[in-house]
Amino acid sequence: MKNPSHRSDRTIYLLVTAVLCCILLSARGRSISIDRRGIVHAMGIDPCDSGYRVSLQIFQPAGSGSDTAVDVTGANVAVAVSEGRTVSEALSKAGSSTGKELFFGHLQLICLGGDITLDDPRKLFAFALGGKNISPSAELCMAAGKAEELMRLKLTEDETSAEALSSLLATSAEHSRTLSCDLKTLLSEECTAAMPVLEVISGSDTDSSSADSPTISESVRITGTVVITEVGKTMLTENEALPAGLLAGKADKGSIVTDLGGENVTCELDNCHRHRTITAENGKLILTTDITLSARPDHELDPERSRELSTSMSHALESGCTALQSKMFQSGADIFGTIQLIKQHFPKLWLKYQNVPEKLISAIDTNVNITVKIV
Amino acid sequence: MTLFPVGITGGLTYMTGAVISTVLQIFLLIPAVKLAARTRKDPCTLAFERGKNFGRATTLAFLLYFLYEAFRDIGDLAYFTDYFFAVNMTRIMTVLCVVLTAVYAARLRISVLGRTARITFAGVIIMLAVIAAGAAEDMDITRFDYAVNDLPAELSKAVYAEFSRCECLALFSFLAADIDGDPEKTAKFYLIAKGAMITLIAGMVTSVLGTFAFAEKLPVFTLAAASENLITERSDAVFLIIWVMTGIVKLTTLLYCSARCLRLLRPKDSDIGSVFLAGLIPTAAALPLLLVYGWEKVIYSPRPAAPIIILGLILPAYLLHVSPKSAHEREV
Amino acid sequence: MSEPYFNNIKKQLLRADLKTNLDIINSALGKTADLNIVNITICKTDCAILSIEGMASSQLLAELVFEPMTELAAKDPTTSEIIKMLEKHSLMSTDRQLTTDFGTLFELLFSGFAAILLDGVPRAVCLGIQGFEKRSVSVPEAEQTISGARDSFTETLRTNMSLVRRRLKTPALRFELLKVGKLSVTDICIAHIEGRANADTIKTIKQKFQSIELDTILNAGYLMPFVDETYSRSVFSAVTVTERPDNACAALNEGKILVIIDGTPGCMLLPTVFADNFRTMDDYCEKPFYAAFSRWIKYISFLLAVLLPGLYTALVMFHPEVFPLKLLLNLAAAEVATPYPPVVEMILLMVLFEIMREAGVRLPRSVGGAVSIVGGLIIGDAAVKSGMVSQPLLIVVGMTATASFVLPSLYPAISVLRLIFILAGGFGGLFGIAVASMLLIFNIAAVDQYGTAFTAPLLPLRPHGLTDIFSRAGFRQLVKRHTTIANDNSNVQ
Repeated sequence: MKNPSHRSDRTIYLLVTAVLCCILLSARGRSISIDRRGIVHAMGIDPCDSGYRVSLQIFQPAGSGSDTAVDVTGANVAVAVSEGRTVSEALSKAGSSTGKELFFGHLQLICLGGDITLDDPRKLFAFALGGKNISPSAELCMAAGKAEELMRLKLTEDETSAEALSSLLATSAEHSRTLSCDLKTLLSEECTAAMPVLEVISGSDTDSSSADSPTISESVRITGTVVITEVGKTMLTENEALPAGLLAGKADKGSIVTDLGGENVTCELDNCHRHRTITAENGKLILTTDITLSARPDHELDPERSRELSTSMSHALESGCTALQSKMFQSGADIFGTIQLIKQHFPKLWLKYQNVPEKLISAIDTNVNITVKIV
Repeated sequence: MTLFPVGITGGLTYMTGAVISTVLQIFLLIPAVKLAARTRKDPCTLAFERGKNFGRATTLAFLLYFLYEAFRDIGDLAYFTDYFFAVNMTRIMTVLCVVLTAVYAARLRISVLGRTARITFAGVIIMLAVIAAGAAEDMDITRFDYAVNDLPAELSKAVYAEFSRCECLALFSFLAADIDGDPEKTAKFYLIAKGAMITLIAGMVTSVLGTFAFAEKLPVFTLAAASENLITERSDAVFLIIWVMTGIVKLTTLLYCSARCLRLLRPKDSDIGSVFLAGLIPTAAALPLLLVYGWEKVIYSPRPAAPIIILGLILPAYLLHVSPKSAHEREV
Repeated sequence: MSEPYFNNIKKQLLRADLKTNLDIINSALGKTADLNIVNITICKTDCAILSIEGMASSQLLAELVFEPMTELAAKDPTTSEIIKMLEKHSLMSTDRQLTTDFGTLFELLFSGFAAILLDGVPRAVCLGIQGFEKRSVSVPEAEQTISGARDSFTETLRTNMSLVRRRLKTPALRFELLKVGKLSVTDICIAHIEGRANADTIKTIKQKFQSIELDTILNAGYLMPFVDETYSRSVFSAVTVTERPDNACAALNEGKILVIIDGTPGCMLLPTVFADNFRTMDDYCEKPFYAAFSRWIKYISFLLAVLLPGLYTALVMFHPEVFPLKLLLNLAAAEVATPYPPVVEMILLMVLFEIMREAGVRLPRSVGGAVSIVGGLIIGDAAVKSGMVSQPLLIVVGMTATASFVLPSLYPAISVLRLIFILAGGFGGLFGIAVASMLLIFNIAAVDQYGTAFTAPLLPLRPHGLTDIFSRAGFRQLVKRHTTIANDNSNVQ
């Protein structure tokens, strides 16, 4: 008679072996090794006659002759273009044409063509929702012309073009020259979409024979920030970018030139903090934005001059912010997250105007107080 | 917490509902913990002591509920694993993996399951810390709001939805007698920890993703995907590992309890036999739906709260009422 | 001579007739060449002095047996006077035993005793004059420390007992001797501190040893299946083998039980917990902050050794989005040139590494250096340059190998687990890793030895032992005796 303990041990071994066998068979050997994936860094979406034209920047490693795995002197990208009725269809076709399984897990940048309409972002970006591993933190930008032109730029500043473009956008947003926008901000519908606009500098050579040579500053520049509403698009100039950043709470740094008694003083801005309160008085909503920041002038100033500079700068920024805020609210664009604030503090009011938020924000009275500390 | 309950539209509303639900659960569990402290026996054994038929009916009720929850757990594990992966995971193999692992573990003692659950809980804490650290920059307190049409109705819906997902109450009612130490204290700690976890997760998702969370099928997974840190670009891999582990622990506990019920109904069954049977029944029920890609209907179907109330409150309260007081209680 | 006959002889009593006794002995031992019989006559009484060649010391035999007996012969004693002198009035050895049966006589002869038989006396006087070749106390080979003691257990039971006794000069230290093994009759010593070790556990262990039916006990591994209740089911062993007396004494102080086996330097400690594998004597020689740091390095090394290759394979094949972009690009470029999928590369490298390690262990020292050259140059350099394996993978394997050497006691488990995780990760991705991890955690949590959970003192939580798990408690706290195992006597003062 078999020892029950032996029987029990054998059952356990069988169970464990069965689990391991099931694990081995779970993917049916359909895993795709990293070298067989087409790693997509950036994509451009342009409208076309058949629907959408999608251009993808796919990582292309250097050949085995190079000393390093990634050739840092090269652009390391290949561009694949395809069309489809929807973006998803176009992406499927692009995958087939490249012969690789496209991998979107590291998609850093989505560039929209200048002609594209964003009346239904969730429909346009359906390909990013619920699949394809696309990170909700993927950056968005708009091309002044065609997104495909941007995708065909082969920059060599970083390991890939997309990295170089992303760095440009990130640095610009950090220095309040534009407003950054990512996928979840756009799709969360918390505020009106505002994203940087990139323009390919005409005359830059994107031919593959000199693909290693163009620098980013020679090839592309940020022309401004586009605000996309249901009505249309509004461009914010570079001068409006700093107030926009301060009011949206996205400004980290910046620089400003102030006229101080006939002398132009340039200050580097830092430590920007925003605090907002929204109250209802006499049936009106009053939005008060308090912003504090520190400024470092380009040369030493005595205390009296510093005070003057602080006052002057505050006034200049306040007037810029107030003007921009009024302009945006009058046009029904909320790039500052004001609707979200109203939703939090006055939910019933928000519910009443849920479908027409532009009416709500156009009736808001705004106060902007900026305190500048000269360091 | 794989996804928000169906019908929930506001993060803060859901968090408030979860807190209220937790408080209700603490009160609801009082008869069960008192019963466990007094008798140190599970409700099924006590029911059998009252009468054979009553015992059988009680055990069958527990068994059916546990098997139902195991069925849902198995299906969810297979369905969402397939969803998380870029490659198509064979659903049948995924099911077999988790069920066989749960069967392997369900034949062990309850203390072993408790230890494993605690280790997994530590993993959950680490996962949440990693995700929170990576997503901290994107957190915005203005995303918390009560902007819903009928707040009391929405809160009630959230409370009910959260409550109907609490199969842990029925499990607690069944297993309370096996707890070392004071079952009441353990119950309170457990429910408070659970409530805190759910509130924290919902809070993180809401503060980072806002309304985008409700556009995504799996908001916590999306949150993890948006969380970047110094070492990894995304934290969804950490989430995936911990999610599978917690799913297996839950399934193991359900199979353990089901096997115990089976042994009460069929005392001649061996330990391993009853565990196999407990694993086979929900697997056989879940697989056909998974293979024909019909599991979506189950995910979005409402969960019944009545079994939880019956098994977690009414039955223990009745047994508490009819069971003799312990010597300590008589002295007091 | 067949075994059953030998077993019958063992139970027989010694005869009064010397010649009969000697005939039986020669017959039982098959006239073995190492049996020395010296026949002398002391005043009409025939005597025989038996010893085993190489087991008894010739010098001691001459000084302690032959000389006194020669002196005795000069006094013309009777048989009863001779036996009285031998049994009661002489100090010929520190260990003197009287035996009346052949079984005990043979055991003592093979243990290095000299036996004196007298004609007309149905018993033998056995004198412990062991002189067999034994290794002197040397530096521990497998458990090296920087600041700890430099002595280790040897193959001699008595020497090992003395090494423990030297460190624990307490009357509470108890040694209990048993004999195990039908043919080897190996001496086993169970050591414990009275009042600290659990009495039921000691009793259970003794019963288990006494029920062993093996023929030979040659090292601790023979006994482990009998004392480790989860031996065949658990990946990790709940019984530790140590060759360090200081380790053993520290464990005895915590209420553990030490089993010393004659013929092997590895002594068993039980019950042990998982955390014991991460504790070394060096921790108690350093300051607590460094000891804590060192402890955590070991924990991290364990995780790296087990999980790193599997995780790497899983991420590369299923979840490359986790890698930072620069790393991902380098990995992708490195893998382009290799012919095999990463999981195959990883398994090949791991198997190759194990082969080289095994070769390094078995090779004579003079040739051992060749393994390093083969490993480093051929495998490391040439394999990468030829494109057979990728560099990042080789780095992962190198890190894993180094991490696994931090914990030599766990190496067998780590080697096997590592391969399992590689397969799980390579074919099932992170889902496979998660399932395999759960199996491992269940396996560890299920080990319960003599009332002590393998995950103690973390789970179930025992605060008085916890400080020594995550760091090294200061000695002020250690004054309040801490222990990682559960027993009734584990009260904090």
